[in-house]
Amino acid sequence: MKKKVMVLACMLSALFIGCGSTTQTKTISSIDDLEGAKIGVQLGTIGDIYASDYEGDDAGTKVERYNKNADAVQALKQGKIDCVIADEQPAIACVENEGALIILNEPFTLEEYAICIAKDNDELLNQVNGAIDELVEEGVLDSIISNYIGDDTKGKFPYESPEGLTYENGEIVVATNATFKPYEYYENGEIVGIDMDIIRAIGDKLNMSIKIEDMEFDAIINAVSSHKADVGIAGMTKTEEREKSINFSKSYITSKQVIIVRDSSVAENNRTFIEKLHTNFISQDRYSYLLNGLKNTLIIALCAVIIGVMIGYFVAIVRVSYDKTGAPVILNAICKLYLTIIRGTPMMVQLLIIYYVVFKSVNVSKVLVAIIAFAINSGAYVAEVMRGGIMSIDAGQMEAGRSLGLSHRQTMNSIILPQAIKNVLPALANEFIMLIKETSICGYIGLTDLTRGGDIIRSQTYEAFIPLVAVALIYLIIVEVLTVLVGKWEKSLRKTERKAD
Amino acid sequence: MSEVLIKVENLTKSFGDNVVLKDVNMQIEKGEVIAIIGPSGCGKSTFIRTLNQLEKVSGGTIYLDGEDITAKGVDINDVRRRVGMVFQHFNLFPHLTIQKNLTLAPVKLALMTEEKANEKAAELLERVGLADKANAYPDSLSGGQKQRIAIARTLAMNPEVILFDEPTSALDPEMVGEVLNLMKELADDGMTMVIVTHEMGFAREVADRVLFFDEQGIKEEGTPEEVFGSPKSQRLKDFLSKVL
Repeated sequence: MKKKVMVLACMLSALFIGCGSTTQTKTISSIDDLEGAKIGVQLGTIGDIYASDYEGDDAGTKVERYNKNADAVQALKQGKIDCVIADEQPAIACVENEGALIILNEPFTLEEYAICIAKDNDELLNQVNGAIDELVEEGVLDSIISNYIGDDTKGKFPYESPEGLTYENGEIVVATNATFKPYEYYENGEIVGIDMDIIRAIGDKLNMSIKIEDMEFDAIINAVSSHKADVGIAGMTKTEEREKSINFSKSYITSKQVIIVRDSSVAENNRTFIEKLHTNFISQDRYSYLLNGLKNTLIIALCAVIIGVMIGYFVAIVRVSYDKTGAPVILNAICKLYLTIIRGTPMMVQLLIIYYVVFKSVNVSKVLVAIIAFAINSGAYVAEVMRGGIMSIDAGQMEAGRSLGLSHRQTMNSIILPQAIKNVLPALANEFIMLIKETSICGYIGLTDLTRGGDIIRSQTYEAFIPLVAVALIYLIIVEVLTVLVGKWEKSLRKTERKAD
Repeated sequence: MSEVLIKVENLTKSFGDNVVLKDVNMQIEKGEVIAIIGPSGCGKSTFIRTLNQLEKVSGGTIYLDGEDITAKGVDINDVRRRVGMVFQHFNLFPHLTIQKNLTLAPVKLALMTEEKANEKAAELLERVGLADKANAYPDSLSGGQKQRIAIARTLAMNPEVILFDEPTSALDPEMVGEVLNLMKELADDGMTMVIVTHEMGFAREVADRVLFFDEQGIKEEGTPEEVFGSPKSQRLKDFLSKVL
């Protein structure tokens, strides 16, 4: 217990101290300085594509790829990288919050944003292009953009759907990556932004309703081409590379790629810890991201462990009975194959395969997909734990049961398993604990679990420590509570057995 | 005329290339008590375990009440309900109370209601002298007590015959007596019993017939007086001289 308190104390003190690393840095004041610098980008963005051209040159330029702009910006603040290449508007949005950063006046490149649509979906492509033309003509597009960009016009032209509109033409599923202010970002628990208004306006033109799916940026094209989503809109630039796997609509906005650097003239604005807590959790009800995430994490872990135990139980029985009697041959071969595949591949790859390949054309809830993926994964580990438990029971127990006339299954269920489970309870609890923590990869299919809940906060506040440590603490508490409960259960099992009279 | 309960014809059993039993023929009558003696590794235990099909036979036939229990499609669980077995290492179920140990099978197999099974268990525990242990767990019992419970557990199924596989071999010497006494009472009550044992005194006193197993089968058999009093084969004489 003392140890745990100390670990906690360490984590908390890390919070206060912050991270003041001072590695060798390079000062960037123009594009020419990029050679030899450490450049941060968001994975799969245009910034990434252009920065990659510098990578591996003679000057030793390095490109660090992050899942989010916010992570790159955080790294920049801490001196881990020298600059961040990002889209102009998100860059402005994050520099607003960070006095210590500035955007170089000189733009890196000019970009055309467009909506991506699957190659074989020309019908929708034509419809979207037609809608964009109309929106440009009517001035709707400009008014949407000015509602988000420009100090004078911000918030003055919110997009409203025309009255009396019906959505008889179905639904457009929209893939986006809501970490990209002002194009798409979370506000009060909803995804809003220029892109969201534009796609809504397009939907209104086509009499189709809009369903937004938030996911990692580098997953969007995949999701659209595999028909998980109908369109992708996420401040995405048309590039030749992307056009190989996806079609793009007409461009709806022109943006710049800019370079964010540290502003050496300004000291970092030092907000107090309490202020930081307020920004990260209280303002805009940001704590609700954690709560929603926690809810999903718990639902997924609990359902997955229950189904996983059932799968594991079944597989263990098949394997044990094959070892003892040589049957059933085919079922045993299937179980072995299952164990080999599941234990031989990373959980994340399994999750992605189940989401993008197995459920490619089926529209099921992501929570269900996650439950299935984690249950299948957990089942494999539980199976081996259970098998070990069953084998640890003396053969005489089975013989005694069978000699009384009980069937193999009856003996298994009422004599072998109760003893086996008691023996493997610590290992099973361990499996459950691992499972809870492993659900943190759910963000890869765009599911808001606890970890991603923290990530959303980070993408809004550009603050790494508080959300991350909060998430870590919540996991720690869940695991601790679980450990205590299992300990009690185990103790009660042992007690009944030693009771003499 | 006594009735034949078990009849064994040309029984053969091998493990891979190792032939343990070869062409064994014998029969057991209702109410008979048979002791099986012989050196270690001679196939005594294997033989007794084929009688309730814990070991599958390699050849030959075993009849229980005239029914071939080695045939395909036989309800083996039904056979085992009628043929009780007591093991050397008791094999009580450690996660269940003594009472549950006794009632589990009859209730699971729907032979008795739980109430009826509990009554029967109380009766049997009384009979083996352990009525006060009904709610105890096996771990709290001595070896002798465990074996008496194991016998009671078998009796709870109302078997037609009980097989004893070296029931006292795992016991401390001072506990052997209590188990043998119980077995003797059962024999006196007319229970059909097949006992693999190293307790020659007990075999002599209780058995109606003694089988001497050695090298793949029965080498000599007869009444206790014949087997212990005037052994014919040299092997039996050698064996007896070692154990008596």
